[in-house]
Amino acid sequence: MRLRYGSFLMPAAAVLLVFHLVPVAMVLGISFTEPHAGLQNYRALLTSGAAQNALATTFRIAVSTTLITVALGTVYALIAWKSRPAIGRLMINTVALTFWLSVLIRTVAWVAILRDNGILNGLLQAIGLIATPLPLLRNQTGVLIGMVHYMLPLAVLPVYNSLRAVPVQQLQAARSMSASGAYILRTVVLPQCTPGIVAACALVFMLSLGFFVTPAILGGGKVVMVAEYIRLQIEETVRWGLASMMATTLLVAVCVSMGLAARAVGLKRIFQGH
Amino acid sequence: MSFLEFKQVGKRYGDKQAVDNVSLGVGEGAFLTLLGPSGSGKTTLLTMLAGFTEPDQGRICIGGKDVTSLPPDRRGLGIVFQGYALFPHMTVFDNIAYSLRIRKMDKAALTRRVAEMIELVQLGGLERRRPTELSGGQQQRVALARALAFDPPVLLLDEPLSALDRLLREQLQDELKRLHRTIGKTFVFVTHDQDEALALSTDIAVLRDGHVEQFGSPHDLYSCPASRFVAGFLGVNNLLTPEIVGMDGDHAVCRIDQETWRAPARPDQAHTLAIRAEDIHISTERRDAANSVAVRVTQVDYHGDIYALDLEIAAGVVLRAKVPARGVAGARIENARVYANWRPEDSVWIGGRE
Repeated sequence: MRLRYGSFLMPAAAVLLVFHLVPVAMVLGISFTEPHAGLQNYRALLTSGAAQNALATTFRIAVSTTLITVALGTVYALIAWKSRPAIGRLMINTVALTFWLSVLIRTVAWVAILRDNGILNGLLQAIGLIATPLPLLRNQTGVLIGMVHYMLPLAVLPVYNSLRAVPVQQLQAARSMSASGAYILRTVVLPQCTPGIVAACALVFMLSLGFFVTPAILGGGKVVMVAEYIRLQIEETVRWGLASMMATTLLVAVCVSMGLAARAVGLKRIFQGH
Repeated sequence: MSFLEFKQVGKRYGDKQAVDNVSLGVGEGAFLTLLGPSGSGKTTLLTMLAGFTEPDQGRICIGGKDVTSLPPDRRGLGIVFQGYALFPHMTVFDNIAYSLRIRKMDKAALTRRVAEMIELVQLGGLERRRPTELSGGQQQRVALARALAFDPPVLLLDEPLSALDRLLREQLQDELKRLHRTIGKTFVFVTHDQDEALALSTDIAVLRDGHVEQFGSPHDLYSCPASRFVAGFLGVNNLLTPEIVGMDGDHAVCRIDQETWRAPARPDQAHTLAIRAEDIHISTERRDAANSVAVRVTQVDYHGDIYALDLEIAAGVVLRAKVPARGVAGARIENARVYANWRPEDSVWIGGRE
């Protein structure tokens, strides 16, 4: 009986095998065989300054993006949660709406806003706050701005979900015992939405590790993250072995962070947010 | 003057007058029950007392102080919520200590106070458990202990027993009564269950569509319900509308079909006569001393301690009687012709409203 029902899963398993597992296995294979068999590609992790730089930059930007995004996202979710229902819904829908815009369009829009003679610098100069344009593009600041903007919904939604799971009677109970708003937030609300916050961290961090379009455009070639490094090895220097080694390293990093987050709050709660 | 008082309190939600000009007051140490079906305004009244809802009109006073516009955190009332609203991420100890930590009580005093509360609600040994590891009844006790820990003058309880099964409910009902007697605070209790209300309260306000239908002691309400609604809600089973055919001394002579009996003289607006099921006794012979009406037993329900009998006086007119199970051969009296007997004083006329 079990086998017969299991057979319904065969098409899905076949798709997964052909389009996901086989390519991943091939990448793994290439990393050990190109240009010749051995561990020389992985040795680059210890010897190549460019590879180490790409990893360090990626890690630094991913951590910063995660901290900034989750902090902003938590505050945003808290405000939406405390507002009147109509306003709260509007705030959440607005954030969710940005999912529908292509990441490319959003990144190019940021170029228009952040460049030297762009909207932001123009505005700040016009009101006399700065004399020379702030360097907001082709550096880490630009990459962070673009990435935080892209990731914000991924932080807001899980935190908001976990906030909504806190029953209003608990807040009333705390109030009736004369707790202040800040005390209720600290002792009742935040402890109960820790899973949502951890979920947000995990999602944002894992996506940040492999992020490509935004760092490539807003970093302008100056900020090389892992994905950009891989593109360089494939398109410019044609070193597939190095490229697949880095891809494998990235995959391992994502799996490890997923594992850590799952140990902290449980895999199911990460994807449900509460 | 009353210790706790609603003065002409009203609250409207859209088109619905949730609470309509409610005035009532009780003394310190009372056990006030707000009794009514869902939508009667009892919960709105409680949330206004707690301070979570502001009334559109009227005043609410506690201990001679007007608290109408005071926020809930400055009213100092203990509240047991429906579903308890315990903090799931805290232990029993931390739940009970919550209000004491807000008041920055020093550690030794805090530990002592929590231990006192745990003793009061008999939860010894469960201090380190989380609410999810407790039964419904134990959770309810934690909620009580948490609400009482900071020694509030008034305890509000929002249907605290409704989530529990019948046996546990009766047991906790007893404990609630004991608790009320022990600590001597004013309790305000919301329920839709008339048995709970009658068993626990010193004062009951029966609410209907936002207004107080009747306010009084359980005994007053049960023996002299002011309306058919109150009578029905309190489980007074027999509401008859007999014809008055004359007077016999102080008594009115009532008639339905062929049967006549005596009742107290009827006030002007009253036309409904209420008789409690347990005041009716049955006999096989007509008795002279009390009212004695010929009836046919149409249904017999066995409840363990009693039989509930449906006694038909005339077509469509049925008396409900509760008779002790001992000494009645239940099955055999079905369809029997017997006599229903009750004293005229045990029947009461009910006012004009439906």
